[in-house]
Amino acid sequence: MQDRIRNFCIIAHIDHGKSTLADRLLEATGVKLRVQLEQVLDQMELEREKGITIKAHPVRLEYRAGDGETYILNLIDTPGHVDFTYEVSRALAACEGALLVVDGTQGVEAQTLANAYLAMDLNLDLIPVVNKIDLPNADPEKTKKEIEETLLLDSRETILASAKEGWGTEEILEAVVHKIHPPSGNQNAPLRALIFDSHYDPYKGVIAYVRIVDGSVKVGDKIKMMGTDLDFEVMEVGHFRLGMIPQEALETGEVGYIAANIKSLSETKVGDTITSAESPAKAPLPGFRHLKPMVYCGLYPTNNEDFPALREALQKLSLNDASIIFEPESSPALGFGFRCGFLGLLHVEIVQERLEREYDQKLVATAPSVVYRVYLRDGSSVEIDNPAKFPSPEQVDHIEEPYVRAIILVPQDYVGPMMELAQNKRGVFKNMEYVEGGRVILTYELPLADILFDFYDQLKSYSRGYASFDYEFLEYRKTDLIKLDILLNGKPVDALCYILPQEKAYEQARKIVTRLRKSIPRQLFEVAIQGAIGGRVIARETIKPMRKNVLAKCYGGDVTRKMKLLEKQKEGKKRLKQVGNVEIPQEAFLSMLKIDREE
Amino acid sequence: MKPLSVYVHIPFCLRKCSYCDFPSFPAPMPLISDYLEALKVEIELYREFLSLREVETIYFGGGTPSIINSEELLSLLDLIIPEKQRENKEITLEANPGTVNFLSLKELRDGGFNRISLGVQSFLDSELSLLERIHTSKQAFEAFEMAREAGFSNINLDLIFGLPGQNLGDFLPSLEAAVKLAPEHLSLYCLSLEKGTRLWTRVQSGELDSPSDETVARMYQKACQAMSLNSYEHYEISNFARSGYRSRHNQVYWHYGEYIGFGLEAVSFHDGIRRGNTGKIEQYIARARERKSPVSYQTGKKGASALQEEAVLHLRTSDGFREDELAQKYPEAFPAFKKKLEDLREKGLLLENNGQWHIREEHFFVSLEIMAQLL
Repeated sequence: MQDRIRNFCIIAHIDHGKSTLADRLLEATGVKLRVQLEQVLDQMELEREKGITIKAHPVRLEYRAGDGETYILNLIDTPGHVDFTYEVSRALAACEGALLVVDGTQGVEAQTLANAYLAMDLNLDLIPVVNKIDLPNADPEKTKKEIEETLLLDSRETILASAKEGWGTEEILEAVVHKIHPPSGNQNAPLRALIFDSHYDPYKGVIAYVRIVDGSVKVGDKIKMMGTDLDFEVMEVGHFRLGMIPQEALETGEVGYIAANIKSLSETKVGDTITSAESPAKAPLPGFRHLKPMVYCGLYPTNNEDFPALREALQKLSLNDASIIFEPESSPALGFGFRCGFLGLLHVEIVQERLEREYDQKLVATAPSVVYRVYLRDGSSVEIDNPAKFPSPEQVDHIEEPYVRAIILVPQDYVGPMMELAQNKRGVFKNMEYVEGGRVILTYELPLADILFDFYDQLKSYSRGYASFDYEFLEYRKTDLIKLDILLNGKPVDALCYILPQEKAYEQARKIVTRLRKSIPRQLFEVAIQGAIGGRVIARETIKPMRKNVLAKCYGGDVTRKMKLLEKQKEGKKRLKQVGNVEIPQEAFLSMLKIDREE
Repeated sequence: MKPLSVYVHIPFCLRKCSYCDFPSFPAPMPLISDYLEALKVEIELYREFLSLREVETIYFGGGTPSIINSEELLSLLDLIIPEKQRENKEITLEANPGTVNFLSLKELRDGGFNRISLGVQSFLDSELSLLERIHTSKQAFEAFEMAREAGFSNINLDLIFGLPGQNLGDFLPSLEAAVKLAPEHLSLYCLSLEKGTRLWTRVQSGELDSPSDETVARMYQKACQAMSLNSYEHYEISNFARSGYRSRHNQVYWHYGEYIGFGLEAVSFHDGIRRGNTGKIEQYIARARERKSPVSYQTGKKGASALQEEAVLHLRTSDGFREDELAQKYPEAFPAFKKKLEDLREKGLLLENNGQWHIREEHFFVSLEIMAQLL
């Protein structure tokens, strides 16, 4: 049976048609309902709105191939964003092959490359597919050449398809059967199952999504998580169809799920290996690492009394998202809140939106920060994820910050602006490569901090939307950084301080205080905004006091309408955070993200 | 007998002004007569209620009540309050300077109206045409003189400032002219551009520019100074009066007193309930023909939200409110409210003097900001 299993996934850039193609494959193998498909592949409302897949959802298909045999095809969907690269790599590790889908009107993009490189590193069989060939502006031949040049894949192997029209679906299924090799595990070896995803079910506990690499697992087996060294008893195993279908056992090469009364997602880490508790495997599967958050920010309730509600919301949210970590912190300016760690900026955005939408929290989020490694004069070192906690300059020996390797794919005409942008962001040029169709692959090493601050939006505007971009963590590097304090009416506001590169401190400080002046509404009194380094003020702006906010007329017939107006103003105030005696809107905390765009 | 105020709405004018979003429009004669008939029916429906109350003030507003002939206006007045009960009552008529003549003013004064409010708005003809007023500044001066001669010893002038394109220098002549005429009362309104009005559209399209908040605030400040120098009390955000000439009628609104509104879209407030009449004139007339009430909605606030509303209305006036009165009236809601009051006092945004709370004059022009913190 093992030789009739094919495990594969689809790699594509955002909007290149991954979901539509998946739908076609499901339909062609007898799964018909569109509504249900959406339920399977795009569970979260947010995923649909952002047009991305956050969680990976596998589906088991049965396909009767041209050779008359029926094959089990496990389609494992992958998250489509750089923040979730590790999850992508684990999903890929559960497969033997991948469909590399490229939009025939757009060509290869940075994300296509990044994910294809990941797949190649894992020795996956790649099947290139040029999609959207039904569109009049599609150029399949050019796209084929691009794939060949950038990824060294034989263009004769490339399948032309239109997922929308259903063209090429059969050919793709045949290629999956014949070009992707079957799983190679040893049926008689001790159990080794790779966890490539999981979700929390309120009745069954954590559901681990697994690929059985060696051996088999059945209900009642005692299992062990090799990374966390925790033992469980298997309550249920099964396959993924439209829902979860219980089975007696999962055999070598199969994809399915295991439920074992696991209480918390942190006990089943993505990438970990499940083995038998009684006869454990000698070594876990390669590649497991503890996911460390790359980006931190403070989340505070707008109203201090809502702190317990926010804690509860975060706890509930983390049941379904093991990658978010949070611990209470307090800020003189913002009161009690949480310092939260995320995989990346999009992840921050998603969590914030879910807290507001699904849990009805009114939040203030502080500017995102990377984790700095600060080496002190006394020889010790600390990791700082909150600029407010930065040690004072005289204690510091030197500082390291995280760098990433970034790939930027851009039409030749925009190379100049792209290099300028990367330069502005303290980028170190590494490589430039011309590809078919007048495009260029730029490789840069960039400080992650600079990518957090508006890099993506600027990338799009510098290239009129043509550039695409992907990155991966590289290393920590020593750089010259200083802390900029922001003072409102003479009082430092911890939640508004920033870590800046020394050489840009003055320029950035001026921009930040200007931006703050624009984003903080007028108050009933004058507000002075100062930027200071180590007690020395280097930038200053003043917000003039509010001069007019009045209802000129209010007589008998107006009272109801005028009171509604007043209530509306009150509602507006609820979105402001009281810091000292100054009321600050959420945007002010994110000023840093916007300065470059405006100046 | 409990005091009561009465408002009568005349929703007609010769031409709608460019800034007006009130229920008012030009209308053909037959519609006006039908409306006046309906108005009489509505007043009749309240005959018993009125007889149980001491009607203290009456206000004919609009629209332009002065386009109705004096005989009709007086017959409405007779229905509300018999002639022999009018002593010491305040009976106001709103009038457009472009619609008055000496004879009718005299008839109205002799017939019982003892206060007149003239909608002058500006003494600059260019501004009057921007506002699409039907009168000139000359007519405004004449109307004032006529009213005096007709025997009105309590006159109010309405002025508007903060017009698109207006600067401080444009506003001062109107202010001076008003002060020179020495009315007993002056209402000085900062223009509020209401969505859908012609003036709003012109500003919206970029054709006209509204003055900055700074400029408008300076106009207001200048006016406050000038009025004070000329012995007017600044007794409400937009109202100034010589001693003894505060508008008794309007104070009822701000003091959370009780009133009945007759006419299209008019609002009544008594026994804790706010009722509003229909805003559709055909419906208003049809209801009257069936001798049915034209009320189309009613709301009542209780507890904290009633307290907030009452306090906010009081705070429009320089006197504000007495703490003990509100504490007694809202025993449950008051303690929490008191915390907010104290917080605002701490910040210097409310003043308290022997249990009397108020907003200082310098803060009137940002009073909404302060009031919002009381909700």
